[in-house]
Amino acid sequence: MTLALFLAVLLGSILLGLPVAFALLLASMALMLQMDLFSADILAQSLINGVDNFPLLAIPFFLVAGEVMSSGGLSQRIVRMATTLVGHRKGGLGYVAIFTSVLLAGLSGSAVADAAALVSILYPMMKKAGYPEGRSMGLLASGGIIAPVIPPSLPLILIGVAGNISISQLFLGGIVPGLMMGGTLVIVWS
Amino acid sequence: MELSRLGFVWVVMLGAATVLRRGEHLAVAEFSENLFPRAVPFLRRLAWLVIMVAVLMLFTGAWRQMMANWNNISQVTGLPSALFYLAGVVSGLLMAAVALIRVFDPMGVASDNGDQI
Repeated sequence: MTLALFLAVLLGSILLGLPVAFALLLASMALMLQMDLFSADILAQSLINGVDNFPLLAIPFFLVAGEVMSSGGLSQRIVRMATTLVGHRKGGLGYVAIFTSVLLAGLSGSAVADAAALVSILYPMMKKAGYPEGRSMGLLASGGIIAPVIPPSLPLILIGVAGNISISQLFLGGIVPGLMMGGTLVIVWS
Repeated sequence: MELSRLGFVWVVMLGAATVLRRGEHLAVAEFSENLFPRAVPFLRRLAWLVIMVAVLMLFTGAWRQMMANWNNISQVTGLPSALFYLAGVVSGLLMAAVALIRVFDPMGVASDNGDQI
């Protein structure tokens, strides 16, 4: 009954368009009311204590680092390096995209930031070189999702904090799958 | 370390208020917009009302905890732990003000309010 109420309030309010954060708040308030435990103090305490977490500090710092690197022109230099290394092959820009996404994944932890940097630099180049639009966009989008797997990765920090798992072990566990994703993209592209 | 955690709490709480004002909190609007397009203005108002109640609860709880913790001084920094809850008080008040305005003017945010997902 308790679980059903929680899920009904949570999913119902999300589907009606309430922002997810507030839907969670509403669901916990409904649960507290049902269990006769309602107290605004508990609500405020769990909200503040949830944020009061040292490992979570990594997230804003990663974002700042990503901003600094992109405004410093690092992404463009990585693309240039990848072009020098693999750009001369047939379908070279595709390999450049994969190589760059793997390298950028090791710098930024966010799929959105990685994909945005990749697309803004590489898509115009691929379009100019006459690569098919759908295929190149698909490759760039698939390259973007390597970022949350290869460390540093924002989702892995959140998983580590929420599930009380060692973040360094999660990061170590992400390296090989990330490289395998890059390898698979190379095989598919060739 | 404690000072940085305090700073982070403030960043998150003030950030939540800023994001609420910009209408950028993660939400799924496609479902209600496609299923009951006529009820959308009403649903938006209802959502802002729920948000107002929720943040007022945050404000009340944080206020009580803040008042109870002014004398609870941290050993390391010498700052009262009420400062953590002060972030909740300020943010709760700001968010309640935003929600109150939006209850009367739900379209005040960019009309594509639901495209954040």
